[in-house]
Amino acid sequence: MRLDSTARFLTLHDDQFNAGQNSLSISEDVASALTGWTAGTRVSPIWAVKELTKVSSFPHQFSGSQDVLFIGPVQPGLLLSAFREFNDRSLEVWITAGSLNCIVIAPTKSRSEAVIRKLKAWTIGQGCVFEHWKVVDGSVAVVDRSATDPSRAQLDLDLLSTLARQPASQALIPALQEYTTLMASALTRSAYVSSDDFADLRSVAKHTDKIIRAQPAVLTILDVQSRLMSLNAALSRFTSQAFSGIPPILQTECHFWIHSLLGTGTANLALTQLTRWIGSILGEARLREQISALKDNTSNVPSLRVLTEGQEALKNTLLQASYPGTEAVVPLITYFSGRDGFSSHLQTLSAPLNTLAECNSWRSSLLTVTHEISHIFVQSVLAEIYPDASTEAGLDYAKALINPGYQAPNWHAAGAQLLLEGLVSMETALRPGEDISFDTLLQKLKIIIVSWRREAQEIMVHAFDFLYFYSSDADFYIKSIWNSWCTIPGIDERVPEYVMRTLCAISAPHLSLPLQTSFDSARREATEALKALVAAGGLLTDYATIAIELLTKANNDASFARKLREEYGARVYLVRLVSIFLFSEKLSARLFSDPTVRSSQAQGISPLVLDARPIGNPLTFLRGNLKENPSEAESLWVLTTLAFGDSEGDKHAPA
Amino acid sequence: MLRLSGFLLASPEARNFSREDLEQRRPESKGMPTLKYKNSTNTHAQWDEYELFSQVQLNEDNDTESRGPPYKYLVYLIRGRSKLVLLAERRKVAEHVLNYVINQNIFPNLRKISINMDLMISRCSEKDCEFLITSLHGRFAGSSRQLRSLSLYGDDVTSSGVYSNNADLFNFYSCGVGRRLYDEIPRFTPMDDGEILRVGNDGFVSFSLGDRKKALQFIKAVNFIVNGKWIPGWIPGLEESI
Repeated sequence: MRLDSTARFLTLHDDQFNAGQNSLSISEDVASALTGWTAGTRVSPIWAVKELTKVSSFPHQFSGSQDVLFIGPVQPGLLLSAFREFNDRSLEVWITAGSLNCIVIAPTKSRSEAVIRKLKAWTIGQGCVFEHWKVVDGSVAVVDRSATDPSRAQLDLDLLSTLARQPASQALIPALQEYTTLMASALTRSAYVSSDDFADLRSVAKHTDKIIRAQPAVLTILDVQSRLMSLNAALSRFTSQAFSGIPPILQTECHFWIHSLLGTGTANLALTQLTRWIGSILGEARLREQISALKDNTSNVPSLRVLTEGQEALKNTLLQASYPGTEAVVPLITYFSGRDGFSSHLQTLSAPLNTLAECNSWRSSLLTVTHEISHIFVQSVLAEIYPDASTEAGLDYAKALINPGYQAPNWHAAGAQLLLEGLVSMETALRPGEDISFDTLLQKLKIIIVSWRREAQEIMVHAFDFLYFYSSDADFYIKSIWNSWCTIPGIDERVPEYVMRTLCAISAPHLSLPLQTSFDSARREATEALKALVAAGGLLTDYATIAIELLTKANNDASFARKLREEYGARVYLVRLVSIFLFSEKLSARLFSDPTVRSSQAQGISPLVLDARPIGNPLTFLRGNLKENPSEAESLWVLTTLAFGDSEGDKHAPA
Repeated sequence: MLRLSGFLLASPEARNFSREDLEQRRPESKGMPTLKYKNSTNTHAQWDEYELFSQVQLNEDNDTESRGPPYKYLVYLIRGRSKLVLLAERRKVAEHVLNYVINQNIFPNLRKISINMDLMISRCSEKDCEFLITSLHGRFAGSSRQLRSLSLYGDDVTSSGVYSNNADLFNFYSCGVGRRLYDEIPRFTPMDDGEILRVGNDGFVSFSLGDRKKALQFIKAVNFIVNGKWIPGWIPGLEESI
């Protein structure tokens, strides 16, 4: 069965000033839904299952008596294949973006009671929840809903309660109070609706508890406060998005107004599943721990020359695809945000609100989260090897590393040496012609370390993202990132930075080439890909055109080309750092492991088809469904498939 | 020898299947197929032969004997508790029976048993496993774009260095399964015709129906596959044989 491509709007006019007065309807569009709006009106887009829809005129007022059953979170394909009544077309089904993502509508007849009873039993059997409304001439009366089990989260609530009682610095109390109450709500609501979310939140709660308790010894008050504030912001949005529109539906309003009736639980689940997949695989590799363990690896430690030139150092695979560790991998709290867009912090990750409506468009692709996740992992590695210029010992170590005669005693120091070479080279390339003596360099080293941190991280993140998530496919990468950049207004002045990041990233598989050759190849490939992008049309800004002009200028202006190549050459050290120290072909293959893979590239599931088959790999699935201008229905279908199509029994799937 | 192809199927609810559950003596509606019980094979008590009458031509290469419409095809169904093996002379025929006969009558619908090939292959590579791998097909999952796919053939593919050094870099989608142990002990010399069946990660199976011995080997291999930890958790009665 297929999802209809047009969104309709389930509208509940609930006049709070006249208790008990409400009316339910299906509006044709948003404009119609606004008719008769009251202070208590809520609305959500819904999509008919094409073969089962009976509504032909709008607004549909629910005349007569009907049973309306909200079910979820459930794979719609499973529901539709479970009952003969769907096959017989005797029930109507709509799909939503909420946690209760299926709405079954049955005209109230003697037989419908038995069907509704069967559906409720099936829902409970699937570990899902339901809410049953009796709608008579549009007026809603709640019949019943799934029972809750308050004891499920009791242990976690006890932990939070103990934490709230713990003496804390005055500066921490407001953030801690907000955290404990917010987490209590998140845990109890997820315990009701989503076992996977509940398990994740439990892990986060335990990890946070540990951090707060360790605070005086390990972290400063400001560190903990900052972490809590970031976590609170994410938890607050996640909880209000994913767990609104759950039973009791009439009391759980979503603050994303176009989804105010049923929330966005399915979309949140899709985002969580995607980040859970990546996070668990990269998390199990414990990159930071592996890099730290390189201190003990003293065999065949390369010289700086070997690290910076040729292919000898590139042949090493230092990383293992998984690495034993005592600490469990802590899941990220994910949410949608119009303000934060794509962004990440230590424990949180956000995607823009508009990905809900076009998650599989090039401009708002959900795949962009790979960049944010790359930031989290690269940042954790930098915390291990980036010199700490704020301490004398850290600065002395950095000074030793840049000494021309320095030979690293182990691979950890070799990594730090290559990193510093990149930082110093970026500074030098910024001032062409300026002769910087070693003494001057030592004097400026602290400033260099501090001021180039952001740029170094960005270059490394782009290379990491390209190697791991784009399978070194330059065309696909350039199309993806430039489509994404072209949706951000007012960043014209940053185009040169983006060009440089692009050139560096796509050079990652070609580091054994001489610098001039890889520079020329990267420039040519980037120019061609950007030209194709501009020619295809549909970009929202002219950044790609500016980038092409910049790249073309290097063909005609020798001094500009030289400057560009110097800057590129300096950053390539950081790309080599990623390639030598942070990349493993086996780890990359794990990210693309797919137990459902076929002999050809053909997609397993056709767009808009509500199929119960699993998708084997969320990254491959998302890439396979990217389009220029997908409909909102296609976006919902992708989100629904991502949310519920997790691979069955896959060895790499998160538990 | 007749080559049969089809699917390993399961119901998400524990249940038995009767012949009547699977038959469709009259078309559900105009243009829909019928499936009629023909007889039982003497190989296995639950292994039945049916005839599919379809208005759609499903085997363009070999429809000369059944000029239609309706076109007539032989279908074999092996019934187990909650599980079913559906076989026909072509995959397309089996798909047609599943979509237009079986899943029009049985609810919840039967689903193909997806198989985690990595786990199954890994078990088959252990020396105490009754079965071994005789062929392997996979797509490259690594970062480089120079390589696309890999096929390996042999008497015991997973004992080769090529497999053990590179298995982590591929997503395997189908393999041939043969037998390693006879009377609980391995053979030292390879069999001439060691492959019992081919199986895909989507539950696809195919084998050559020769004699009764071959058919019994097939059933044994199918039971090995559908009772392993490589099949999804939604399938009830993991330990129950077909």
